[in-house]
Amino acid sequence: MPDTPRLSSETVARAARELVGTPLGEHRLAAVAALLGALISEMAPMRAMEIAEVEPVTIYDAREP
Amino acid sequence: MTAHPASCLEIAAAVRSGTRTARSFVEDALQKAERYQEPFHTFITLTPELAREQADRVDERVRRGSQLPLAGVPFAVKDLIDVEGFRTTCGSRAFADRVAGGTATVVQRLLDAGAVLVGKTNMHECAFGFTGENPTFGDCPNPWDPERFSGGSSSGSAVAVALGICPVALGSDTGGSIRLPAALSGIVGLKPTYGRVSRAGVAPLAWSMDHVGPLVRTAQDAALVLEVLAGEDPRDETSSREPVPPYTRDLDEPLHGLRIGLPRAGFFDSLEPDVARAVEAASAELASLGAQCVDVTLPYWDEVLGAHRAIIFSEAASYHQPFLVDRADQYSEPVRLQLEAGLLLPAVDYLKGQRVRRVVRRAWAETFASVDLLLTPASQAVATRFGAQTVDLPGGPTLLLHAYLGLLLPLNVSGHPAISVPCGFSEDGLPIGMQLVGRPFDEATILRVAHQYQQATDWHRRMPPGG
Repeated sequence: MPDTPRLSSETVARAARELVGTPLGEHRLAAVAALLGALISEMAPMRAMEIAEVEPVTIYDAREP
Repeated sequence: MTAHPASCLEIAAAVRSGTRTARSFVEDALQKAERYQEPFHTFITLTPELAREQADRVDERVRRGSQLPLAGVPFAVKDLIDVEGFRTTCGSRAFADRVAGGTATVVQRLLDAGAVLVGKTNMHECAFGFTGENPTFGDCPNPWDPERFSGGSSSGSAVAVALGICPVALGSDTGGSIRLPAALSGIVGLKPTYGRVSRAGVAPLAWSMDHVGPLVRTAQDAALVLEVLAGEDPRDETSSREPVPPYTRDLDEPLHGLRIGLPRAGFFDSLEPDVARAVEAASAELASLGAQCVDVTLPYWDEVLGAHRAIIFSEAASYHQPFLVDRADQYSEPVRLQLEAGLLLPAVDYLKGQRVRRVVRRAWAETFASVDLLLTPASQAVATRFGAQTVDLPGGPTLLLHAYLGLLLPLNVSGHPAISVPCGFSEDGLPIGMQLVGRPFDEATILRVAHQYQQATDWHRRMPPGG
């Protein structure tokens, strides 16, 4: 498992506020940052996977009106 | 009647023949549900009045000659499945007052088949966890040792069946949430192929990986219930048009010629010794029944976990985003944390996860070209104690997520059907489960193998202390 990236509380606070529009309380930022870091670590092998022109599986259905 | 709880098959036969009434089975179930509520917190809502009405209606239909496949069978549903007029809490204070305006297709199909709803079961909050701990409705401990967790998120459904309250309960499975509590509680849990069973009226965790299925004591009951549940539903556009075979018909067909693949790399690494012994013994038992067990490889083991994490966090955050705006403080801290982290995951990771799924499906189809099904452990360890952060495995301390869901969640990414079947007990007397995985829409084969394994063994007939 790759090392867990260390995201700062400031980075998470700005992303939540400016990108998502969901401000997080000060006391929650460190915990969210730690969990995000762990998730990114777990996703590292997937991120590194080379899959060429493969399209995503989606739940789009052509029968939808 | 033996001390062992009656199966769906036995109850329906007794009611159809007039030996016993639906009402009598339902009264037994309600009585047991009340008796076990402490300390197990199995139910969030009991529905006694509705149950008695439904039971009397079933008895009347039987008297008029209806041959109902589930006549008088008491059942429960995880409390994220809608029943009109009753609340659907998702096990969360955030939804504690939400009352369903309609009934889920799966519930309606069971009712139409003569089954009788006795209540809605406890669960890990919002299905976003796997221990069965619940700060609002009470923790759901393991019937074999109440100091340990029962597994989740369909914890109440598993405990209700394990204790013999009802012979079938419905659960949902987005990363192992039917199969894990089934394995840790000593019962059978079936996650059908994605699209095989309707999700209409079932609150989502992650739309593209959510599956609904039964928790039961026997594979035979799983087959019987799946025959009722399966099939296209206009209310769920992801439900499949694939024809539904008669799952109970071929359960006793010999296993000679079947090839069972054991994906040792990944699935058999670092198991608790008791688990390893039990699954190897199960493999030998299946070989003695005529199947041929061979080693196979399932590629992309490491990548699948990342795909699952990207998809489940993103889709769950998307569903819950509006509720986080107006009632964030009503979620428990761990669930709120996961949802907020999901809000911040990059979209490219979500889409990479969905692209990886396609690659994985293609690659695993090649594996399934040489075998008819796979056999794996259901978890690396038996149930651990509440509050544990890791379990000690031969490979070292292991995070609970990896020890308990690592062997199950790949099948939510791929969508393959999978069933957890009791295959032994640890030295401490805790249940061990094995997992059988079939080709897409070939539930019939894994049900047949599971049934014949249960005919040759008695693990599923053991009852927890006091059950």
